[in-house]
Formats: sequence, C-alpha cells, structure tokens
Amino acid sequence: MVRIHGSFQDITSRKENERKIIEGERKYRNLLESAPVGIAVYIDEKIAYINPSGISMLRAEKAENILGKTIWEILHPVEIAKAKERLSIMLSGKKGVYPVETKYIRMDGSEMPVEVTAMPFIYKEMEAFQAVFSDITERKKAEFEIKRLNSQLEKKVEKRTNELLQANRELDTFTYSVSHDLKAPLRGIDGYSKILMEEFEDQLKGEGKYFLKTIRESVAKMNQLIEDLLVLSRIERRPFQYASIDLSKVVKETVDELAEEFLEGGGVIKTENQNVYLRTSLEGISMVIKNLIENAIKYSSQEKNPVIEVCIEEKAESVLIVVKDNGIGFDMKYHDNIFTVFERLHRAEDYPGTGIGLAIVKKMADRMKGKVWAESIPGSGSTFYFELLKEE
Amino acid sequence: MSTDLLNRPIILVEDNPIDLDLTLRAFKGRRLLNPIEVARDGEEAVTMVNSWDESNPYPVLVLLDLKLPKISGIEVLKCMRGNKYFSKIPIVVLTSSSEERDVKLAYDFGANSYIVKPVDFDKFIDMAKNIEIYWNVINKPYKQ
Repeated sequence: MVRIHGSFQDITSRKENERKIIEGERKYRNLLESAPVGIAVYIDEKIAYINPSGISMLRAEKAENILGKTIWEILHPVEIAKAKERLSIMLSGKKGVYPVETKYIRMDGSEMPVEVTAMPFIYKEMEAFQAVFSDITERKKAEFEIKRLNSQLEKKVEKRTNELLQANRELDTFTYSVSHDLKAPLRGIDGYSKILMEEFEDQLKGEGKYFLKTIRESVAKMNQLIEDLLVLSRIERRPFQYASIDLSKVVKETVDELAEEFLEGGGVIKTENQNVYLRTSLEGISMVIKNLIENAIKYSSQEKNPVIEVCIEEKAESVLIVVKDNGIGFDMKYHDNIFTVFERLHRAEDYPGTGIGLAIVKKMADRMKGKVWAESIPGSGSTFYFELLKEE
Repeated sequence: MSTDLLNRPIILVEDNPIDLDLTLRAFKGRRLLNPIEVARDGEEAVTMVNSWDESNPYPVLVLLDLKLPKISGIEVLKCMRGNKYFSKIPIVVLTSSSEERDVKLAYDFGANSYIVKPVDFDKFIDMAKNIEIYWNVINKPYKQ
C-alpha cells in the first residue's frame, strides 16, 4: 500500500517533469518559430532545422526544400573560403562566431547580404552549430548610399577647391595688372604734365601751372593708393614663415626706424626692455608694430608734449602689444571705421595718408588669427591693443 | 667714357608707346650719345637678337620690359642669354611690376639689374641718369 502509494507519488512527479519539459520545449519552439531572424541548426554541415523566418528569408517556401542542404550550398561562392576558416576556428575552439557579414544565395538563386552569429555544440557525437542570421539588404543599401554620397561630397569639395584656386589665380592676375597696367597711364599723365610744365612754361597763363601741379599731385595720390592696394593684397597672398621672434627687439628697431623726426620734435617714446619671445611671422608682426607706431606718431605729433608708450604684456596663453598715445584720439562710435581700408576720420590736409595703416593691422590680425582693438577718448589719446595667441 | 663705348648701342625693348617716348626723352635729356635701338615687342627683340652679327657694334646695355605682347620679356631674356653675342651684355629689366615672382624670374634667367619704373617723371629722369652713369661709366663691361 505504502509502495503503491509511493509508486503513485513517483508517477505524479515524473508526469509533472515531462509536462514541464514539454512546456519548456514548446516555449523554446515558439520562440524559434516566431523569431523575426533566421535560425538554422546545422549538423555535420547540413541544415537539420530552420525556423519559418529563415525559410521565408531564403525563399524556400517550405522546410523540406531546404533541409539537408549543406552550408556550402547556402553561402555565396565568394564567401566560402572565409567561412571555412571561421568554421574551423569555431569548431576547434568551441567558440561562437560573433556577428559577421557574409552573403547567402537564396533558393531562387538571388543574393542576400546577411549578418550571422553562430554557436557550436555537439549533437550525438556529431559536430553541430546553430546560426542566427538576419537580412541586411536595407542596411547594405544605406551603407552604399552613404559611400556614394561621401564620394559625391568629395568630388564637390574637390570642385570647390579648384574653383577657389582658380579664383586665387584670377586675383593674382588682377593684382598683377593693377601693379602693371594701371601704373602705365599714370606715368604718361605725370610725364607729359612735367614736360608741358617745362617746355611750354612761357605759354602757361594764370593758373595753368597750378593746374599742372595739381594734376601731378593727384597722380602721386593715385599711385600711392595703387601701392597700398598691392600691400593689402600681398598680405593675403604671401606665405608666412614662422620663427621665434623677439618682440621687444622688433619694437626697438621699429622705433629707431620711424621716430627720428618725432623725437627731434620733442616727442617721447617709452618702451620696455624685457625680452618677450613669440613664435610668429617676423614679416607679419613687424608690419603690425610699424603701422601701430606710425599711427601713434601721426596722431600725436601735433600735441604739445607727445608721449607714446609701447609695451608687451606676456599672458598665460597670449601676448598683448599695447601702443598708447596722448594724441587727438577718436570717438569710440567710429571704432570699426578706423580699421576699414581708405576710411579716414580726418581731412587729408591735417593728417596726410591714404588710410591704409590700420587696415593693414586688421588684415594681418585676421591672417595671424590675432585680435586688434582700440580704446580712445577724443582729445586725450588712444590705446591700441594687438593680441596674438601663443602657439604650440 | 671712351668713344668706343659711346658708339655702342643701347637696346630698348618696350611696347608701350608712352613709356617708350618717356624713356627716350629721359635719356635724351641726359644727352646720352649712345644710339638707342628699339624693339617694339618680344618678337622684334628676338628677331633682332637672332640676326645680330659681327658687323653690328657690340651693344652696351639692354633695357628690357617684362610684359610684352607675343613673346614675354622673360622669353626674350632666355633668348639673349642663349645667344653668343648677347650672353654677357648687361640686361636691366625695366618694368612696372614689383611682384616678387617677376623679380625672381628675371634674376633666375640672368638679368643683371631689376628696376621698377617710377610713376613720378622726376624720378624717372633720375633713374635714366643713374642707369647711364652706372652702366656706361662705373661698370666695366666684358669687351668683345
């Protein structure tokens, strides 16, 4: 009785186990059958099981059409060599293959790019593995499209670069004709005015000589404007050569070169002696310092006791050149105008020049990736700042 | 200045009629005695160089404009340097261009001097005077 009872209990527990196994299997089978990816089990390199998604992806219509086919029939011929290598590594190392891209041939003969993950196992002492694969046709199309767009973009960039080079060449030609062709007629005007003035002096009545003198002065002005335009365009075109430059030395040399007349007229220029080095273009920085000092001299030399201070401040990441004068100054609402080429705030009779000096500084600042600005109070002077970043 | 040197011609290669006239006037103003032979473009200059022989007096100097129609001044320079009569004659490039590229090219192909034509006629006359004094009096040419 007890035994029967025991046996009864035993049967109950076995049935329970079987039910659990069947249920578990059904659960996994459902999972396999409803998975949106293709899942195939290969035993001895032949397909032993394939889920419905796999059947449909390979266009086999039903399982019987594909079961028993070898992996080498499914793979695209160009992929076989690589796949053999992967397979042998996988089976010898009992290690799975993580997503690889390859190509299958569908049952209707069409190609299908796929991404496959494979995992080996032993089934009844036979080598087996399961493969999970998804159709990546769309992804491949998108990748191809990205590649196509990229190469299109590269072609566009190349085209634009060529256009820019062409534009630069045209600018070069333009500058060339500015320097050559625009000056030839000026030489004619000046030359014949001079000859007229000398050889027909007795025939020139009244204001005749004055007119000729004015013509020649206008020629000189025009000539200066052309020279200035050339200077500006060269700033854009000339390549810079970088070196470690002693800024204090450049300041000292510039002052020596420019300030003789200013100092003789009672002007004072204060400079600091400490040496500050910066890696930059000597040509560029010399042009900036020269134009800032020239500007300070020009607009302060008419003062009673003109004083110009030039100092170089070394900061953590930059160097600041400060040029301060006690000249006529300017209204800060014209701050941007003074850096524009040929813009002047004063009449040419009072302060001669074409208005190019600060435009050169600004252009140089742009090219050297520096910054220039000024502070001023009309009647009490201006301070100009030129800041350059230290480069590694 | 020896008489011999004064008989030798100066060759002026210049296409612009105004520049040509002003140059001739500037040199005439200095009472320069050397005859001036003019080539009105690069082609004329090359023809002149190629037809030069012993019957012509050895030129004392060439004044060469760079921007010329047909054949450029640099080509003329190359042609002169490759010619046995002209290979050692001083060549002064006289041009409006102050472009570094042109200066380099001129010296690369054997120019002896490079002068940017001044716009101011007073300076132009000074320049003519200086060219005359330097190349005719101070400089010692190779005698042929």
